[in-house]
Amino acid sequence: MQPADLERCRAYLLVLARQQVAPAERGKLDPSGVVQQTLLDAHRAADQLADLDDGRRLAWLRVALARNLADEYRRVFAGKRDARREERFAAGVEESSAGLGGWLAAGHSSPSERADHNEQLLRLAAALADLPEAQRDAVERHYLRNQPVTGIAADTGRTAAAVAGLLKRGLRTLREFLRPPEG
Amino acid sequence: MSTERDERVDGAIAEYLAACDAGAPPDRAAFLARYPDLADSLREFLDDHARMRGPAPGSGKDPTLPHAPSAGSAETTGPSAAAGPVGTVRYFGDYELLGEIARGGMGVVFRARQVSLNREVALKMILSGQLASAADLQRFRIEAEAAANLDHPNVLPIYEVGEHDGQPYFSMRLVGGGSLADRLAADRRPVRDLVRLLATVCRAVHFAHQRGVLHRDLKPANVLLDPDGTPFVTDFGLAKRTGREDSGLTRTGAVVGTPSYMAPEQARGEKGVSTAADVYALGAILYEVIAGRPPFRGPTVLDTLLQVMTEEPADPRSLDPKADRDLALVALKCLEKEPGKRYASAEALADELERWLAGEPLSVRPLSPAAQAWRWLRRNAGGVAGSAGVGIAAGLAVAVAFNSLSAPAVSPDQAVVAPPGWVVAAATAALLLLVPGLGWIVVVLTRPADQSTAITAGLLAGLTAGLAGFAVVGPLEVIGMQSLLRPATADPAGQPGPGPAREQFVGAFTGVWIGLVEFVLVFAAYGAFTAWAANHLRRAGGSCRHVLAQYLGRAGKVLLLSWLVGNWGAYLIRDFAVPLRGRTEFMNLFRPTGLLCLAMITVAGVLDLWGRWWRLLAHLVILTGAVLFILYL
Repeated sequence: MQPADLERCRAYLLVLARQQVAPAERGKLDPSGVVQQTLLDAHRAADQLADLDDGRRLAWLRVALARNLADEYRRVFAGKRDARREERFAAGVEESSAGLGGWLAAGHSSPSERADHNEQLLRLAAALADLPEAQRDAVERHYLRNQPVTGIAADTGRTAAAVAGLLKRGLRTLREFLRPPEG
Repeated sequence: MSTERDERVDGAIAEYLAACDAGAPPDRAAFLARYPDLADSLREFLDDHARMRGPAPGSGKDPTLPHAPSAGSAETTGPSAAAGPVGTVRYFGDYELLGEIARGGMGVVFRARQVSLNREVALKMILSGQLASAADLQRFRIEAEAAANLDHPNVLPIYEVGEHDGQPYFSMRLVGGGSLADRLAADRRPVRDLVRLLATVCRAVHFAHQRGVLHRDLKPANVLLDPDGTPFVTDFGLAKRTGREDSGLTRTGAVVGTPSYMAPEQARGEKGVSTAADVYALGAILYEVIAGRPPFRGPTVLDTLLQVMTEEPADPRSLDPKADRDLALVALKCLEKEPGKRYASAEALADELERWLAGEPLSVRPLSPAAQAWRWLRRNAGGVAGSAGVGIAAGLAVAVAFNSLSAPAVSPDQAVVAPPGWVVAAATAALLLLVPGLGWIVVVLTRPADQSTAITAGLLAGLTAGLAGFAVVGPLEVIGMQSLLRPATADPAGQPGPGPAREQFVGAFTGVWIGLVEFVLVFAAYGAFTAWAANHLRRAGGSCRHVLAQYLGRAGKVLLLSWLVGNWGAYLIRDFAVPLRGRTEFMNLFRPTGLLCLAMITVAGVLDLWGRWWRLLAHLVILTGAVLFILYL
């Protein structure tokens, strides 16, 4: 697996990692650091990953990400090793990925469509990463973590209307990445 | 101007989203109609919004674990934990949503009221609404389809499978007693109740297997209990028709199933997962019941998976010393890595658990012969007591009567306390009834179902007769035997004289010991044979005279034979072991037994040959000769 291929997964993993770490904890537990560690792990396991198709490769990365999140959490917060925490992270990562996938239109049953789905997932994550910070945060909060608009407004010190504006503009930018696959 | 318009658009959107967040999404057309001048911008947003999210209520994606308790979910989820219960009434088609019960890997379960029928149900909906991936939808439909086809008292009934606003759902019976996981967390005792519950679960799973449905995710959380404790297997979430090709549901590599209860072949992601995987999971639940935790639980999911695939489960008794040894063996058999080594079906496991409950021998550990005998004794307590009683009575009668008849000859120079005459008379009468009729009485008392039981009962009666008889005869024989011993230092005149006391005692003891073995063996053989004969004749039927003749004839001959062989054998051995003075006392002992045998044979012959006078006469002549011979001896 080429470093460039891995690099394309960074934005995707970062979206997933961010959803697992509460904003208040991000000062101590840096999601991008965990993603970096995960990509390094993947680079070391390149031989192993080379045999996998895209779907499985992303699954491998998600599992590694969850493990690294749990490790980092334990390191930062001096917790004990806890199987439940690991499971929670694993489930959280899977669910965030499913949520992100849910933004894309349904209907991938053939292998080629599935491959296309994975490709779209990466592009969507990259587009999300390219959004202005405030828009991206609002979209993630509302559409991935399901936080009410009023809650976002309270957390970020904005009016509900301002949050609605961020969402509106964020979705408008993402729109082209959300189109159903051709055919 | 345009900024002001934007602000109005944002305000309208905020209002719309707030209504959605409250669980009451406004009607799209009505909403647009309220802001005609902003309609194009709002429509644009509504389209974007609809694409992001389906109309499913509560389609939250907060990253809590499916089976993690809701408390503590705030550890990593941050702001999403704010999504709490919603105050407003929410409707979903015919259902009024009353609250969230559980959140699974792909579905949310609500407590809901079905308005048209006014009943409370559990309503399960897929998490990500109509925008869920095709694989999610396919799984959901398979689950609904598989579960709805199972009509079993211990499978949670599916009321309705449907789709509302593109949102597939199904409604199930609402059971209010929590799950087996809660039950296990609260208290693992009494184990018997849990084993009974698990046997019921096994039968329900077997029912599903027979209809081609695998559960694939059996775990305590998927066994719901009603307030009476009746179990309902639920969440055929990963159910798969056994005949269908693998539909690639796990191609994404997502961790499917709960690793702690997952069979190794599932953990490896093999395609040919069979009913044996569910048997494994049932065994893992049993393991948790007796050991207090599932067989494998690593610090991480991957560790757990690795353990499931490679490690042998620890003996449950190393985790809980009080764990039942047999149940541990049953659980470990379910947890075999090789599917073929597990129980052949969930039903076989149910049978095994029920055998355990009934105290019957298990296939994992057949009973030892001693344990089998004990079990037989326990189950046939009445018959055993009857047989033993008859045996003891017979033994005592023999001992008292025979000893009174022969003791003076055995020990002429010893003062044996002779019982009163009426005791001897009663004992003799009892002997004449009990010894010839031993087997018959035992069979009448125990009513054995088959010949082996009859033989066992007869053997038991014979053994107790031998032991009881010897309890009386033994001490007397020790006394008698000492007088029979030749002096240890050979006296040229062969006169009896006192040898060293110790040697005398050892000699007498050896003699008595041999006597005991002989006594017991003869009685046991006689009891077993006569019981067999009596049961055989009783079943064969025929006239009373004929049956009695047959029985007495056989019993008499066997008694004669066993007594002769036993006595002679014992005296031969005794002659080697104990230097006796002579053999005349042997015949003294033999005389009453021999006469009894001849009497039995004679009566049998008379009954048998009644009417055939010539043969009867010949029979009597021969027997009279035998009697005279014995008396002469």
